[in-house]
Amino acid sequence: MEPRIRVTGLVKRFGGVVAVDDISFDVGEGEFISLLGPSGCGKTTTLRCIGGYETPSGGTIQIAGEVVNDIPIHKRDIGMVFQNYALFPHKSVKDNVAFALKMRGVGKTERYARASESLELVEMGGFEDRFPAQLSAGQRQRVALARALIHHPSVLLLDEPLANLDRKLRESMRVELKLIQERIGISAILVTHDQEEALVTSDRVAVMEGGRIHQVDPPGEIYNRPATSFVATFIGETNLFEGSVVEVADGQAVVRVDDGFAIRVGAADGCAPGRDVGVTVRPERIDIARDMPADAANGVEGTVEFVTYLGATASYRILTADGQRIQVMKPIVEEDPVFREGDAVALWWAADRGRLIV
Amino acid sequence: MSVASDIRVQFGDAVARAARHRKFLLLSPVAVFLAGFFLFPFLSLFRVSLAWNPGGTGFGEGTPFYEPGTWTIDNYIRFFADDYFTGIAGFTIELGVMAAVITTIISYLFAYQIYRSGPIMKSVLLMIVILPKFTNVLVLMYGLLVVFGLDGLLNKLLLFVGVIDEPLKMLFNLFSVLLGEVIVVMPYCVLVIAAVLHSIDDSLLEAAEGLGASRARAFWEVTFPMSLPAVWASILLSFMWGIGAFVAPYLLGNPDLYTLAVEIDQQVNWRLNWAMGGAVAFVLMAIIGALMLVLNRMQANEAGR
Repeated sequence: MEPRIRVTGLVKRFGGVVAVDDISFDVGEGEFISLLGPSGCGKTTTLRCIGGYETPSGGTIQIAGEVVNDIPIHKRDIGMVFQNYALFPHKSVKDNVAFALKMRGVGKTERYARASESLELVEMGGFEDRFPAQLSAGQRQRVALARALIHHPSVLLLDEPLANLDRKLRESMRVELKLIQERIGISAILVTHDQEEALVTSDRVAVMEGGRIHQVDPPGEIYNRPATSFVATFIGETNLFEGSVVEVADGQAVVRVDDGFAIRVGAADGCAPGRDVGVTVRPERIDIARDMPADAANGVEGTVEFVTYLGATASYRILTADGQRIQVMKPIVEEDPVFREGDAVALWWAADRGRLIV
Repeated sequence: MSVASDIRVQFGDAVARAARHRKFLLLSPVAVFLAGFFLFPFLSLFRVSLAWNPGGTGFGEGTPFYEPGTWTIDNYIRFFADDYFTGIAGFTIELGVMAAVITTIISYLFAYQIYRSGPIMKSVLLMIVILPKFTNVLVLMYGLLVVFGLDGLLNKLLLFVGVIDEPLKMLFNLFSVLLGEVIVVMPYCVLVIAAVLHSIDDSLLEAAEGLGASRARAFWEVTFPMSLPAVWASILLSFMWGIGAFVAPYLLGNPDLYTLAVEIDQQVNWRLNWAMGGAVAFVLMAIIGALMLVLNRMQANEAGR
């Protein structure tokens, strides 16, 4: 089936600066994709190209199979939610929400009725006659969403829609955003720098940096099988070891870390002996005890250098004998962290706990 | 009880009262100035307008500009009874309305152009608007005489190009009076409107376009309604300017185009009838006050809609 949105070889230059550098991705029917990356990575520019707010310097953008590069914004059939909500301050809530219908020549009675329905969808029924200045940030956010959805656009574009909300509200809104999107089955593209937001809401996450896409995959894949060391370090916490492959056998590779010890890890395409690679191991996937078990695939000994108490978990920074620092995270079952600063500990993990980055 | 606290108890009230008034202390220079140079002459003139006019020349004994100590409302009665005065009043209001409408339309277009221009063009256009303010109003008006005269630059240009066969008469008529008015007040209106246009968040227009509004539609749905306060300010400003017009009708008009302000000058300086001049001045002020109230009311209704 034709994807709802197809971006092919998109390039956007501002003067001499390349903001978006040859990126391609698809958004399926009813799929929720997020463009995740640090500021300046080109994610907002990409979204604005899809919305028509920027003209691509190269590549094509297709909406429902049709190339829209030269189609003006108002004919693109999009629903956009802005970071600052961009509600019309001189119009009531219902006139804001009904705006897209007014532009499409829908009569007053019908458009107000549909505005009320759209407001019900975001649980803002009864606020029709208020003005934006009389609403809280969270309420404005909901009204902006109702306004973007009322004309059943082909795609919902969300530009950091939750960034201006406080933490609690942001966490509940992201779940709600996902539920509403699923209920009406609309394709959506979310731009965010908040990795949790991307992981919670999205069917697939596109991790961007420097105008390029590093990886487009479901959240679990992104977390468990990062394609690049940037993805590994940008999403969640990780231990990234750099070294070179010494041998490859039985689907496993042995990597000699620059400062000494060797790591056994599942092999990946293109890892041949002598090649410089990275190995990422998540802190919660490393076991820690006072004594090393006999059958450990990867084992390192060291001392606890620092303990971070986080309530539900404790994070230990271990200094190994050959000067490496390794982060380990464990749940706290009883009241206090099990290990203290200065304790001698053993760390180990199975070969499939790590991930080879070629 | 210490002496200090005793004093505070005794004088506490007075100190508190002084402190309450102190916040107005900063206004005192202005207050003194206004009282001496505005309020006093203002009241004096009002008194004069209520005096009997002896028809004196002001030269020599027994021929004052007005008869001190007499009380009459004849001057006001005469104003409203005489077609001469009511005619001038009617024309003055007409001129104010025309100046307000023309100035506001032209200023809006100009301000919008500034708003849509890039940074360099923006400074150039702003400079063009402000430039006339660097010169004196009289110089500006004489400048118009040079440009628009029968033998002026514009006529020479039009004759040269061949658009016309004989010089157009562009001076000493309604056109030149309005031109003079508009040129003087337009810079203020342009600046007010441009400032408000620039304060409109771009993302509002982007949102409107994203929801299906063409550029033109987005203008009428978002930009224009949001700039209405500036439009009202411009109307008020240019209307008040137009209704108090003196220099433009006097220098660029003819006696049929004289306003109440010119009439005041005629009464005071030429007919030496201070009493009548005073009455005309106060009628003009009443008209301005009343029309401002009406405009304010209209704006309030518009805003509350």
